[in-house]
Amino acid sequence: MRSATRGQRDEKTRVVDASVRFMRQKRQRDALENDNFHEDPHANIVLQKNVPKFEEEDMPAVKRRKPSTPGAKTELGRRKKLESKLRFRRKFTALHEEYNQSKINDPEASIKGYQAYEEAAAPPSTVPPRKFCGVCGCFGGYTCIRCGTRFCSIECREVHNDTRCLKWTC
Amino acid sequence: MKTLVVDNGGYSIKIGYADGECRTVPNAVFKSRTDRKRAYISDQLDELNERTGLFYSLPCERGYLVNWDIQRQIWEHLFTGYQPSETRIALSDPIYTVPAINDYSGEILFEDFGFSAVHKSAAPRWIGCAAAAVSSSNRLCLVVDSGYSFTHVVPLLDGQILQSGVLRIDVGGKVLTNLLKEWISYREINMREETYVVNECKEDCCYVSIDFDIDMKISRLKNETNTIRREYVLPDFRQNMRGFVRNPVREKDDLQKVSMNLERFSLPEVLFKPNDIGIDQLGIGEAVVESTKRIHEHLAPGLLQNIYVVGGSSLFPNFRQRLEREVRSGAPDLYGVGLASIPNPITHAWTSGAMLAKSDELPGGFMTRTEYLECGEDFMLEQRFLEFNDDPDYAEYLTNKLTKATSKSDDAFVQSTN
Ligand SMILES: [Zn+2]
Ligand SMILES: [Zn+2]
Repeated sequence: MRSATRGQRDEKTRVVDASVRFMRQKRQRDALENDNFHEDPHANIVLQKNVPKFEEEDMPAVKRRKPSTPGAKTELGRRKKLESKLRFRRKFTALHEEYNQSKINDPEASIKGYQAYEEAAAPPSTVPPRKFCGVCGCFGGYTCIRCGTRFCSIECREVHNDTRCLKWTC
Repeated sequence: MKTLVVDNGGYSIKIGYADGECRTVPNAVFKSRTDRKRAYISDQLDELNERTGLFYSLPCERGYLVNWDIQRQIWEHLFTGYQPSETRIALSDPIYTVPAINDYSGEILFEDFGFSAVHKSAAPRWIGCAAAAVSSSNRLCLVVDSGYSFTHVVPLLDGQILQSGVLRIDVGGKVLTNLLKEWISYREINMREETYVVNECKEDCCYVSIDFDIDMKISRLKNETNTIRREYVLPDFRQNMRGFVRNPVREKDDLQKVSMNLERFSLPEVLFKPNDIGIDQLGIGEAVVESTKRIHEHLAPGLLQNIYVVGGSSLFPNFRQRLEREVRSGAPDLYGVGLASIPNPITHAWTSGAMLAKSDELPGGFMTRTEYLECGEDFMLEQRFLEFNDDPDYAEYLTNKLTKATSKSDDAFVQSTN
């Protein structure tokens, strides 16, 4: 193993500290929540008239049902308002964090059950995590001294060095 | 008056008249890389043969409805054919209200679609209420719902959610599909844009391991001695619209395939050991035990004996067996552990809701259009559809209920021993 690092000392002895390792793990975890790993394939095609943008194209001409109640005017007004509200999209996490921030100093907040979402999160397990090879998925008995990734064999270590090691940190 | 029952999941919608058939369709709008002009709304996906490079627009994020314009578009498409003005709608709701997320469902259902009455409650409540309605021995039940966005453990008494025992694990079908995509893309070929195909690969290949260490050993063996290794032949969208599993073959052929070895069982393993991939939470089995510990001790035995396993991620082979084994080993020896048999884990909530609708026993009933126009959405949320209650009186009310429930089950016990 020693021979593998010889000659490339400078680059290969760079050690990634704990906070960078933590950030990398967090990024990997967050990626698992993605709805698509890739972006809307046509989101960037906006200004061509013959290719309408995703939302607008599909936002249907909502079939307007005739308002059936006497309060037709207000209902129509309300619907317009609703329409603009619906188009306002935010990420779940952004909405949630923002709300929690706003409630942190609110003495009444605790009785409204707004933290139910946090309280329901399953707590950590008492059983420690197992270690798996970051390359092939077997049990990984060794640790990369630079980035902390696990590997199971010299072969997998080589693959790791050539493909992933440190590339994930930037 | 007809009732339309809609179980609005993060990945699929289960929809149908209470006295009719249930349809399961995607809760998404799809776009294909190859056809930029057309969007496929929900079941229109059937019209698209080449399901490669599919892009999803989803109304839900982490299980919560945040993209209302997409949801309305999908509902608009699906509700065609039902007559809203002569129909009541029963819609499933998240287990708890996250106040940060606006709920426009009342406005949309009443004002846009013109339904005559609306009922909303969490899907586990339908399951709990329906179970209790069938037999008094089901007054206590524990719903384990492992869906697309997350997994929930929900204890119920008489269809009422016992909030202190509700646990959420942030692992569901989506995390698994994304993880498999990552593994295949790193180890074999880039499938990062093939969510749809990889999801099918997951459904076709993966299983829950009963003995993880042994399966790990087998998966390291070469050639025929490795009884786990398979090949997943990817769809070519000419002969094969869906990929298929086969035993590894020696002869070379032109088919494009990925090798599925330890991936087959390491993937669903994450449901039982989320901390293996850095999600520092209890696994499903541990969460069931933890949930019953958070509830009054008199209720724990009844809950453990009556576990309802639902949701798409519970369809992996051996899932129920592994869950039962883990709960058995984590729960006190004196308690029995029993999993209720459920014909279809995906549609079970819908079936329960439909059953309650037919007998007019949906918890909280319906809000009529008139009530809505008078009082607005606030009334709907605060008065009729309260999912949990922090009222101090609630504790007393619950304790009364508990004593009734336990004395009832004691009676039953005495009778059965006589
Ligand atoms: Zn390895
Ligand atoms: Zn490394």
